[in-house]
Amino acid sequence: MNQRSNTCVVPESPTSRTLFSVPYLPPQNPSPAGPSNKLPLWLALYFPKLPLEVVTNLAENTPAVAFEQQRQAYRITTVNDAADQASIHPGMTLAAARAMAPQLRTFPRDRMLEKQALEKLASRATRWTPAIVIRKDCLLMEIGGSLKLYGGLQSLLISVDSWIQTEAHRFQTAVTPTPASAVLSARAGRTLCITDRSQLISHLRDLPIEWLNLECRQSDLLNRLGIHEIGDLLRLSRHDLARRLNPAVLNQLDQIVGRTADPQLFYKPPLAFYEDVALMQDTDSIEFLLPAIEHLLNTMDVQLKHSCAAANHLNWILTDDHGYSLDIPVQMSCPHRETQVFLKLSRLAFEAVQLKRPVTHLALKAKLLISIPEDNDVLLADNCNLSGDPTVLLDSLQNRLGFKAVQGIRLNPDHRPERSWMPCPPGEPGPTFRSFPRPLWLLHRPRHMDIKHGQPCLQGKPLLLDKQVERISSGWWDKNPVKRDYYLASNNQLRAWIFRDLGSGQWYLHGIF
Amino acid sequence: MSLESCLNRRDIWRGNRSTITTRTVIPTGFDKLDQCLPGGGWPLGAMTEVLVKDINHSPLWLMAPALSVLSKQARWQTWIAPPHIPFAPALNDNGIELSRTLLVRPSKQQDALWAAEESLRSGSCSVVLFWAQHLDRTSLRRLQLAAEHGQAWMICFCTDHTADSHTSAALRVQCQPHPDGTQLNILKCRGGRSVNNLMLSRHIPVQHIPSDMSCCP
Repeated sequence: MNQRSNTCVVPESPTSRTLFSVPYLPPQNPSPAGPSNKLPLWLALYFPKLPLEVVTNLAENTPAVAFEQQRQAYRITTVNDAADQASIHPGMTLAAARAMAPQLRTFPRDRMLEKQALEKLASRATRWTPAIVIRKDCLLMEIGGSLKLYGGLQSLLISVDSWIQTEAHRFQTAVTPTPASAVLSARAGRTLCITDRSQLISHLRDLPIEWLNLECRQSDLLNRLGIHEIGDLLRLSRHDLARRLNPAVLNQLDQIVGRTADPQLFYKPPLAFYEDVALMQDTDSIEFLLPAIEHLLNTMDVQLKHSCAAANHLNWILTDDHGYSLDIPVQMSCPHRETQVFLKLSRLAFEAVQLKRPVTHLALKAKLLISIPEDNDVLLADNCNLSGDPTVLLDSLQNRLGFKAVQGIRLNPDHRPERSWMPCPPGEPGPTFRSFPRPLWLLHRPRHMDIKHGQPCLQGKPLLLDKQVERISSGWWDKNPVKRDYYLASNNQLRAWIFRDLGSGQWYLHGIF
Repeated sequence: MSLESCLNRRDIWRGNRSTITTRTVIPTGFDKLDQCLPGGGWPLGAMTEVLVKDINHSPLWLMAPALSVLSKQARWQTWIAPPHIPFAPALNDNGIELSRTLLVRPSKQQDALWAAEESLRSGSCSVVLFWAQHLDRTSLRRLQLAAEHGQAWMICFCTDHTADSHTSAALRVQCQPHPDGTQLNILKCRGGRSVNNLMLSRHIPVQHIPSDMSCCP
């Protein structure tokens, strides 16, 4: 156990943007199975400047602060480097800070935006582990279970590092065996990487107590007692500590060193996808949208893969700055997760659309479905079997031509010919029953026929009545009652199914054999 | 040298025997027509062009037996731009599986051509029926190639103004209306001969009262 454990403490370097000094780690024991693979290991990502980063993207050389109302005063919560150099510190009142630096830019804190930013980061971090906790200003990832998959701690951290560098956030990190200690050391800016619980205390001993969640009264008391570091607290008798401070503080300490359980509420990625991009230039041509479409689909693909989900409905939303908005739905008859399928169908759907005005934004909205049934595929593809997946064709036709233009038909139990069939979603089985002989073609609506010399005529040519086939009198209970005598009739052109309306006495052509 | 031995020579070709016998066909359901077609049926994986006087009166009954057989396959039967409603009860009575039927009504001729080619190429259609007033040579060629690619039977209904023009379809028949059925001219038949004035009479629907009428509301 001691052989496998490795520990390192890296001195703080505020300017450094590297995640961990991974090369300092002693080489990992090559045996992948071991107790450390099963013990939890927590990686905390703390974003010290998040409140400022989500509300502005000002250059670093302008002093800027984020503030919020605390009791009766506006107090500063986050400062950037330029403000820090101007001796503006968190906790100051806004008025005091403005007095010190007149050119100071101030931004009210937006906790909603911070939460959204953290959720976005969390959904991207699901790539490494499903166990992610969102705290107020940091992310906690349980990476103990992913070590084997990523070939050890070192390569996992390198992989996380390469991702977090691309995010536009300042960060501080720590890896420790308990969640509370990981958050604590990340907040304190102590870049720890400890896998052995027994060495945890020795590395946390010299952290100042101000990073604990203490009330003012409690920290004042501790200061007066001359207790400034966590190590001092740990040395005290538990009984007295609980009596003088609060049992909650003791609990906090126990969670940090792992003496008591610290259950976490894990983040669940939402089963929906929404992302929008601003287009480089106003465009009214579909072809120019293609790169943006591909980008959004690729982003969605990442989320689909991470959450093992699929989608069967996409919605593209095109907007401009003046409130014009156009929805382009893409429907699939079964859930898919391949970007190529989405791209093909989206292209077809976009081709059917005419843009009336130039658009500036493109958004993709999708509801994700978890656990689609997977079929087994054949190992050796049968080349003779040409028949493709029937749903692929259906999706293509429906997305290009519209859903009303592609339909199936089914029988409907009704005596009235125009109601004895009905359109239905393609492939849907309907009832089956035999009926009287019917023509293969039914006219969309009965065509009125003139009578010449006592014979019904079609395009001037008389039809010879063969015989009366049936009388259909039905539908008196709804608004379309029919009372008709149907006849077979023919001339040298066609064989027709005609009827005489018993109400009006008029003749109509209704079907062609 | 006897006549028989002369005819058995390998370099002698007899025009009345169909040269292509390996092609897949589907019996038409009409014996007289089967005898005239090479292989004894409609050619599958190819285009059949049906020329009619009025596209609104296309003789669907001619294809119904074959459609019924093909509808047993787990592939779509795509109807593109039919002039009227294909009447479901009649299709059902002819043994055509309705759940395989895909009714496509594009708003433009261009979309119709696209839909036809897409359906043929996908390989998930056994039959594509397409009603077009007129098709130019390029479209015909494209559809014929697509039908070969997807192993689908393409039936294209056109008006008979184009009877004299070139076609790349495997089979071109002209249907002239007749009180009892139709008078068929096989204008072009790949691997066979053209036939004139073939009289086909439709199966007269037998008047019957079905005993299992479950449609009484």
